[in-house]
Amino acid sequence: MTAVIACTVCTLRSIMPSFEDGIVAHCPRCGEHLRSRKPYPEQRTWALLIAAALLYVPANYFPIMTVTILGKAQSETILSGVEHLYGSGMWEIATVVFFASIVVPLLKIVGLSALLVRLHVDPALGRRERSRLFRVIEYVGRWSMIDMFMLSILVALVRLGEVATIDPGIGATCFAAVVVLTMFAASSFDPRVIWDEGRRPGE
Amino acid sequence: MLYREKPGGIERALTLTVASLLLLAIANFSVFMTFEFAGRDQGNRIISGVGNLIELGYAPLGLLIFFASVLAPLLHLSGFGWVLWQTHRGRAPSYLGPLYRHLEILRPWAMLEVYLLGIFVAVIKLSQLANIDLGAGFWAYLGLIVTSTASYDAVDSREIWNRLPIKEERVPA
Amino acid sequence: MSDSTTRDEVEDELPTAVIRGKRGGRLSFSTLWIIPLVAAVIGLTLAYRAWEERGVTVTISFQNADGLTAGKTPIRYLGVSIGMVEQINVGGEFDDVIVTARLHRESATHLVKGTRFWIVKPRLGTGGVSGLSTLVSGDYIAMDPGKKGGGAKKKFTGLPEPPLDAFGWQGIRVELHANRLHGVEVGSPVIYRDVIVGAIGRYKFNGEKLVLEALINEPYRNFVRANSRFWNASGFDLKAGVSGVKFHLESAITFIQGGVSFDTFGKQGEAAKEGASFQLYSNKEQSKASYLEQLGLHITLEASQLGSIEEGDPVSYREMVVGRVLNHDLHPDGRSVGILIQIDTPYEKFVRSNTVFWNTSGISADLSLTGFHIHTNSLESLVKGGVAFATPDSTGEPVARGSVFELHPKARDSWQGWSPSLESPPKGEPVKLHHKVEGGKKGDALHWFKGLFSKKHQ
Repeated sequence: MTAVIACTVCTLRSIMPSFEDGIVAHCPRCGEHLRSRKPYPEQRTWALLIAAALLYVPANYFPIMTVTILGKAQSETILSGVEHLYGSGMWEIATVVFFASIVVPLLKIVGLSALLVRLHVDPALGRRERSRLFRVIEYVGRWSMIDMFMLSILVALVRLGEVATIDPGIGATCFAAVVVLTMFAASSFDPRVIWDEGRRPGE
Repeated sequence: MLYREKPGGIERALTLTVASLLLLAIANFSVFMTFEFAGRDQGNRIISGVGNLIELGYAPLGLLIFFASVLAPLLHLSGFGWVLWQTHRGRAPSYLGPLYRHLEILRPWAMLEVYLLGIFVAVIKLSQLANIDLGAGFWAYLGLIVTSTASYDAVDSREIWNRLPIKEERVPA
Repeated sequence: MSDSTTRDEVEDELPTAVIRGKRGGRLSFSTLWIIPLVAAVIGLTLAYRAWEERGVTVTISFQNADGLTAGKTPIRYLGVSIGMVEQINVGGEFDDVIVTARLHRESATHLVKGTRFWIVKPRLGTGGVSGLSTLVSGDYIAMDPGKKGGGAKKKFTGLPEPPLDAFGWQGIRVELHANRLHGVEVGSPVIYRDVIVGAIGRYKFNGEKLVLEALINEPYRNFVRANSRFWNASGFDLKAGVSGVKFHLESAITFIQGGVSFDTFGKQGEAAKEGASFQLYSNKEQSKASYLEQLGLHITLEASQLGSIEEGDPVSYREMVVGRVLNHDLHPDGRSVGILIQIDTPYEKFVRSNTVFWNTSGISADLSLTGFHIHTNSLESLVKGGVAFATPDSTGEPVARGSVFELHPKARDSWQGWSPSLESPPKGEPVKLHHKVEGGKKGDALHWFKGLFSKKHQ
């Protein structure tokens, strides 16, 4: 009986010639590592998620930008930025930014954590939903970058010396790190494990 | 439905990819947006934002944005175009497979549409204060998003995979 | 090089995976845990920085919080923001406003007893217009640190007005005593020889007297001597006299804002000490008079009537003003008037024991056998009044201060012709002259008009 492995990237199925310890097999078409499962998949995802969660706090606590008009400086965090948009009557934008910058990262962190945990608790339940959840998380992740792009444009445009200046804040770097980390965390998660039966950690 | 072969997809994708690269060049080298406030105006390119961030000491953030808005799209489009070109010509060098695999990994990092939405929000925020003029760069960027999305849609990835070579087995001694 | 293969393959025609080398035994721990570790370190560093930079809290009590906004109003030192207002609450007694502010860490060492806070806002005050920049940037609270080592303090009372000696003011502070302000205000300039060298600070009542604080800036402090005299330069002096209208205006500034001038008459004394007290005279003449008062010869003239003589009237010799009337009073027995005059120093020598004094006011008419004569000394004395004197050719002894002479109602013709040659009296004790006084009261004038001599001119 030959062992056949399907490549996760190009879906080519190939035969594993041997299962010696330490063997590294590659897909003959696209070169992707072939493993039945990624090694210690949960550890990697957990590591990245915890890092993201740790940085989520400073990302929201510290200001992401400081607006200085005529000498008067005003710092904005992500939340206060949303508040301002609401206050200015632009509630549609405010909602978009709120979702992208606050809900999405939180969703990713919490969602992926939940998925990871659920692997061991009642693995058979809600598989389809969980797969769907993962796809949503994967797709929606990059949209958190909206705030960062907006910041870069504002910083570039509003460079009017004394009259008006916008400077970035430490919160922006933290937030960007959170987005990047959650994106990596999602890509490190092998959705196929959702469909596995009763796995043990580290397997 | 797992996949559907589209006729002439590769040619279409190729054309669109080339168009996208052109638009990317225009978008980056033309004035993107002009902001006029209290008599002072600033014409800016996409690059300017990055440059400013780096100047202000936020190099990691600046580089990330540069990557997501310029570099990744550039690399992806170039690579994609190359793969398309090669398969269109019927050639299949051995590196194409891994190349395409890396392109697929790169894909989520080319955040063109997200960038556009970010611009949109920024413009809304600023338009209250001052005059904003959208330059050629902006429209080129818009067009770029359209063409690049279309080019990805034009051909199913399976089609491409099918045309990529599989390595012959090499049995270790 | 290799042909592309199509997908439709039977299982046994599947390609074989490519094996490339072995990897060593895997760690049970993914190396990726570095990342959250780094993140934790970063997070903690940021948190620590944030906590460390929180700085210190101070409370400042103000009478009014107009223009202050919690979370926005900055605290500034020399224009640099060093903190921000966090909370504004009404004081417990409902009579003031308590502002809670958080200052940067580095400022903590400057929160000592002498540190002062005040609100900077657009002000049209006695010092002129100030704080205009706040129209644009918003009001802020300024801080002037006290001297280091003054004992840490967290609760402060805000000043109602910006202090004049803020930010390391150097100079000398003296006290001026006056009866009334008469146009002088806080911030009014202090002037020396037409140059503004300082300003008036606070003032308060000390009993019935007014005590003003004058601050003279450092480069000019040596102009203030122990014997300098200060006078009120506010408003203007309009003297309508026969010699014309004298309009004296010190400067436009002092006209509007009030002001105080000072100068040192005569020889410069030693430098004034910090906190020295000075009299604030009503005007320049008065201050000068008080100076001259010390010099010159004081003589008392005795007359049956005052005869239009007033304080300040001139004392003339040969129609030249050589002194002035200082004061006059009724003799205690009510039967004569005493007039205190001063002969200025250079002219003291003209007064001798046999000098005669007469009242030059008005017109005196003589009806005599020789006809009708009208005598006036000059138009000036016609209107104003005054005293003149003459000394006979054979001069008498020089006189001492406090001598008493009779004041004749008019001059005798013979006096006009006197023209003694007079030189400064030789050194030596001049003779004290006691003139016979009606009513039998002897004694020298000093004793007689005790009150006059000790009265200050105000």
